[in-house]
Amino acid sequence: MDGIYPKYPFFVAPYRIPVTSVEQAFNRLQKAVGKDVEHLYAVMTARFHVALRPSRAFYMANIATTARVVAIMRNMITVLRRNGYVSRRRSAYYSHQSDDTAADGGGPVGVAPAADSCHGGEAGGGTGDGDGGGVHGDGGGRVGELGTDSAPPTAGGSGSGCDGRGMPPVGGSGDDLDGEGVGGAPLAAGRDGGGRSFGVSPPVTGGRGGGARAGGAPPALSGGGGGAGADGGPPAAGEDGDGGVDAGPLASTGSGGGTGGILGPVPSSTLPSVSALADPFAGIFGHMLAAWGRATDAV
Amino acid sequence: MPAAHLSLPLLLLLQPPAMFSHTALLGPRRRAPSEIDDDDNEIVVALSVQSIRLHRPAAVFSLVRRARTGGSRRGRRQNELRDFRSGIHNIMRDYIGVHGLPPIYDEADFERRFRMPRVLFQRIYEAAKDEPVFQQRINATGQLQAHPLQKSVGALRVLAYGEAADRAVKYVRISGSTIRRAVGHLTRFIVQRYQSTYLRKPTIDELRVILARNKERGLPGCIGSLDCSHWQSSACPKGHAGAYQDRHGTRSIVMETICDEDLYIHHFFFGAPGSLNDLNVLDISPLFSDVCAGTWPPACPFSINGRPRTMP
Repeated sequence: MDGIYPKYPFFVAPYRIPVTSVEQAFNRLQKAVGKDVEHLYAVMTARFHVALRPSRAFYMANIATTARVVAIMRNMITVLRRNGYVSRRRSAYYSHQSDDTAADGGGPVGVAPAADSCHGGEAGGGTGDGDGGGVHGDGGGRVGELGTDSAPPTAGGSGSGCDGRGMPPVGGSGDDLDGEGVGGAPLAAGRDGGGRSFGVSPPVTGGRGGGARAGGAPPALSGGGGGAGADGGPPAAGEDGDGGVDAGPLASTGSGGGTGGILGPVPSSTLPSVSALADPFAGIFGHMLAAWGRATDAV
Repeated sequence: MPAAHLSLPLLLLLQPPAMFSHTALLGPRRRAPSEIDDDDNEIVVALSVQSIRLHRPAAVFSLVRRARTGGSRRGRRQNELRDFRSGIHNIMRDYIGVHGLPPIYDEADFERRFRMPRVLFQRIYEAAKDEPVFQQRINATGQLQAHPLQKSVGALRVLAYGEAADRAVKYVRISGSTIRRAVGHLTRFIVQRYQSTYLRKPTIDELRVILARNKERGLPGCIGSLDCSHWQSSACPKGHAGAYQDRHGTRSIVMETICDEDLYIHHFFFGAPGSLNDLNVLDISPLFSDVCAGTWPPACPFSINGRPRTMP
């Protein structure tokens, strides 16, 4: 918060006149953390230009709906991508989190054991079949959409726990099979697999998933506190280089880094596939829409 | 219904009346005129027109309420022959691939144009394409109308580029009014479908994750950063101009947001008039009332300097 907000107990106020180095450091830290939300406004408007320009809608309800859509889509993209974010990689919390989740099972919505989710991540890095994983990813995602799932989007934590484990990005088909067996966990693999079955950029997606995981590998990057930011970046990139792929942390291409979004305990085999429903009007473009439908299984 | 339906092509009217339903319009079940007697013709035509009158208005207007636009009325400009098929072909050629060929544009291009990963677009499309407004319709002459993919792409162009609705007309080959309608319905659909998942208060489990991450950054007990931003409204009514006028002299609406390190939005409050400052916006925000009423945040323990604390 900045100056205008009152001194409520649920607000963290900076020191008005910081004197000691501790107070100055605190103010600096608080300002740095508070910059997140300012960053968000820039990203939201850059992402969806409808929010960049003045709204042309007349009714307030329409403007509010559009703004909410921008926020929702922004969140959806974040859930898809957050495992590849820089902040995740340097996070000490996520390098320890897999152990915590495995230990007490009460971690942040750790649905699947962390070890298994590591395998799920591996599947994304491998060059094996992405189709099976795609189906599983389908199930997990749709559960979240319908809201029948108690696992919140932030449960990406459980997925990203495998980032910190430092598993090498060398998933084979055997790892694929392991990943598919654990319900919603291999969601990351599913998303990547979906991209591949779409037949667009076959060699890139899988490799990027592996690279993103390699980035989080060395626990040494998590230097504790916010100070590790500058240090965390370059070595992470170096790890990506070892993985043999370019995994820019905020890479705008592909479904990099897996999803790790909404993980659900519901086995995906019990969920109906939307694309399985007959589209009575699809006949005219049926031969083309078939590919689309197959690809969307992974969504 | 007006007399427009009486001018249906005769080929369609020659079908047996029992088959003359909505679905029968699709199929090419046509009988050669020589098979039908002249007496039958009149009966068939009369019954068909009657069945259209009985069924078609109910089927259309109960699902989709649309304003009566110009188009095929006497004295108005006739509808453009837009060639919907070429629009859907354009999209599929560019981003899906037709005739066994790979798509022209790859994932990076898709994301640059649609401002979202392709998987996300597919997910929204799959969810929205069966909505009544997005379904492919058949007009009075039995022609297939715009495909849901065209409407989705057109609507997302508007959102991604912030452009006018009729800007994408040449590419997706549907009218600007259809795109405009699709934008409205798509936005409402997304809010209604995904709001409860992607734009809600964090649960206690999520709160633990948030607290742990912020603790690691050096601020234990910190949920996120709160800030307000203004979105300018260029079509604000004169009567509201006073309330919505912000400090820059333009009309705007305030959004109040809490987000975390990943820029995931945990709280989003939109709609306060632009004349309010951040403090006043907070006062009318549901966040503030929830915190004051003690309904949120849930009691999530944390510790500062080794001293255990709970949420207020």
